[in-house]
Amino acid sequence: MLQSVRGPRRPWPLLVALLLVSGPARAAGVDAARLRAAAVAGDWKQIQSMGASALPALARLYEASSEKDRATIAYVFYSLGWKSPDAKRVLMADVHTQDQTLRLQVQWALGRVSDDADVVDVLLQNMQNDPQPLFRDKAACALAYDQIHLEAAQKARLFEGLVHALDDDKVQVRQIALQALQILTGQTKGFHPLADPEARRRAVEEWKRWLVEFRANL
Amino acid sequence: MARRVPREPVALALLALLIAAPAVAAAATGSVLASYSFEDAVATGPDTFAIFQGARHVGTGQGRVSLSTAFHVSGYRSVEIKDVAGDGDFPELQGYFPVRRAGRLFFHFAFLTTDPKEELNIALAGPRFFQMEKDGIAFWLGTREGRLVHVSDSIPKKLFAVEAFVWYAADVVYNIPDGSYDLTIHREGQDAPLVALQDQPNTTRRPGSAVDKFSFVGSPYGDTSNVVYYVDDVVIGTDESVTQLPFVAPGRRKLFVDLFAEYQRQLRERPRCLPLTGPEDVGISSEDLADLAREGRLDEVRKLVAGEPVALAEGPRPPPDGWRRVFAAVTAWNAGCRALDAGDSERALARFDEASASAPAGRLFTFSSVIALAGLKRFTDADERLLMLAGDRDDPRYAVVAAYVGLARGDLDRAEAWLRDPASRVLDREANPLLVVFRKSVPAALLAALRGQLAEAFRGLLDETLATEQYYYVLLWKGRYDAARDYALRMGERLRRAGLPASVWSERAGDAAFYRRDLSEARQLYEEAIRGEKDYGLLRALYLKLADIAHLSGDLETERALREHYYGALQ
Repeated sequence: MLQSVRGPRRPWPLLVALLLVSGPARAAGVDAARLRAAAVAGDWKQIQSMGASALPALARLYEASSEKDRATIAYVFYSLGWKSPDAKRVLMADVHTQDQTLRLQVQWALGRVSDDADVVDVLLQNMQNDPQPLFRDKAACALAYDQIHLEAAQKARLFEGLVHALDDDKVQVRQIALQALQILTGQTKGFHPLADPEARRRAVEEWKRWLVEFRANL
Repeated sequence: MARRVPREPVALALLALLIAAPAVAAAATGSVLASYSFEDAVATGPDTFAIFQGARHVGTGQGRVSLSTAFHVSGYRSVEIKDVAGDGDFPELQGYFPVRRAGRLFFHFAFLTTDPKEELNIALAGPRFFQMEKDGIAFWLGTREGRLVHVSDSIPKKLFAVEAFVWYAADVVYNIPDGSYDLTIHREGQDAPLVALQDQPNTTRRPGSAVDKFSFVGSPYGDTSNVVYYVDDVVIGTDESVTQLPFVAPGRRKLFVDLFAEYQRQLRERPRCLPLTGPEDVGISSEDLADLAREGRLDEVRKLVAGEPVALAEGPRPPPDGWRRVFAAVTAWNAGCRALDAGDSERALARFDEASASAPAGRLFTFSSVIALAGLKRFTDADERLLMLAGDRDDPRYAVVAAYVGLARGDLDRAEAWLRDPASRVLDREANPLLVVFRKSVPAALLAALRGQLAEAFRGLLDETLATEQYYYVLLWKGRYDAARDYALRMGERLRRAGLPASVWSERAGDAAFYRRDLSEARQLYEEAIRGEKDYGLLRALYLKLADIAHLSGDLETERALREHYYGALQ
């Protein structure tokens, strides 16, 4: 799996802080000009101070913006980490874009604005089927790190998709699926992406048994 | 794929270290790696270990980790962990012990949550912190939607529906080479365990996953929890005996009657400073404490309250004046306590006054000065200071110090005489305005104003105001509980006739009955006091005493209802 670099503007301490930031606090009136200036500058803290009422306007701004600005606004959505149907809707429209910067920001942001099943599904599809290895890798990254709103039952769906991807024909897909599973569970169940098919099958069976137990505990 | 950074330990010394003690007998064994029961003496466990409070402190946190007397299992205190959803931070009680890579580890702790629906998490982890990997998180217990779960083999497995305001004691026997654990959980008041699991795979099913730390948090990543929960009796050891603590239905607080006896014993031996029970005693607010933690200065605070000479280091940023004043105050108080120990009340008083001048919010300085004043036979000055502490009447230290002054003056028979004389001014509100203000602490400015207004009469009125109270406490001190109850009842009646609030005396009559362990009468008297009381703080104290009675009577349901009543009143 390719190593992810999310850009210097997101060092880990900041990411950790972002993870901790939630709860749209205020719902004051939104100044459109101020919102736009903050959004295209990626100044999510200023938008955070505007509260959740800014999200629909931010989504509309996203739709009306260039790809470059949309990537920045997607980063704002990511940083806010607030659930938003509007944000999800506009981001999903770009989840297959070929613009590299925009695609990565969208894939990362989706799990931080929504816990809908179709978000997990589309990321799993991108992880397995996107022609570009980079997009596949970053989709796996998003699945491993950014599905912050999922409850246990929703995670079962995510795990099922990742276990399914262990059977993929592409070695890279098997690698990134395993790595995502390892990040989420700390385990490999003896799976090795380059092992012979029979060894892989046995390890996948282990994962499937684990998945059955996971579901049984829901 | 970039990995998450582990939850690095923020080197914030645990508040509990300031005033924690190994209260369990097992802590004396060499197999104990860490042991905390959060009591009042300054001490740590027997081996070299450290315990820390970790929290990200990104500047927006509203949660806290603090000592609490509201609930406890052993002793009379526990640690309260309060998380606030959406504040961008989380409080954490995180402790360290020498890394264990082999053998078995025994982890005992007790917890009580006020709302099971709010998420909490408890974990054992290793050098890789709270990562899902080998040497990362090894044992993980938490609440999810009202249920307790343990995360084994990366699967959150349900255990049982958690009840609010109920203590649960957990014992984990972690087999490090096998990467498995046994988990036993007892509910208070029940002999049979609720949970008795064996050979559970550790969190990530990793044999040989080392451990060196434990953690108690709310919702560290999701920031979605408003949990308030309590932790007590945390013990980590390598020998099974250290975790086999008795766990019968615990008292929620150390009973005030027991505290009275404890402080009384201390003062009977010789005049001395009574113990610190919380940072606010010396004028350190929870905000100050959080700021000191952020600046990495809790170790200095720990040394300071342990009586060691500490100069507040300059550090990267100059410490605020408020901190300097508190440090100076506690240094002076320590010196005063040493002087009191040496029998030099004059020198002790000077240092206590110096401490009060530096940090006027430090009530412990005032308590100490009253003891010194009693030793110097300066009873009017002692009474004035007791008047300033009157809001702390429910602090057993107040009761004991008041009794100590009363015993020292030795002429309290007049308190009886006043009661026999219906025309006595002591019960005349118009003649003695101090009786009206005495229900709460009297600020120094108000006291000065009254002194000016009452002129020559001030001293006599003050004496009258406090003599009755001291007489009552002296009766308690001497174990004359029936006499104390009768006196309190008669005082209450006289105050009522004079049109003054009498619920404080109803409570005192109840206290005397409580000391006598006449729980039925005590309950009746407390209920009477509640009917006549409107002050929030006094009502809260009364409800807690009723809860104590229910607890001692074995009526856990009523106790719980009363605790929830108390807790609800805090919201």
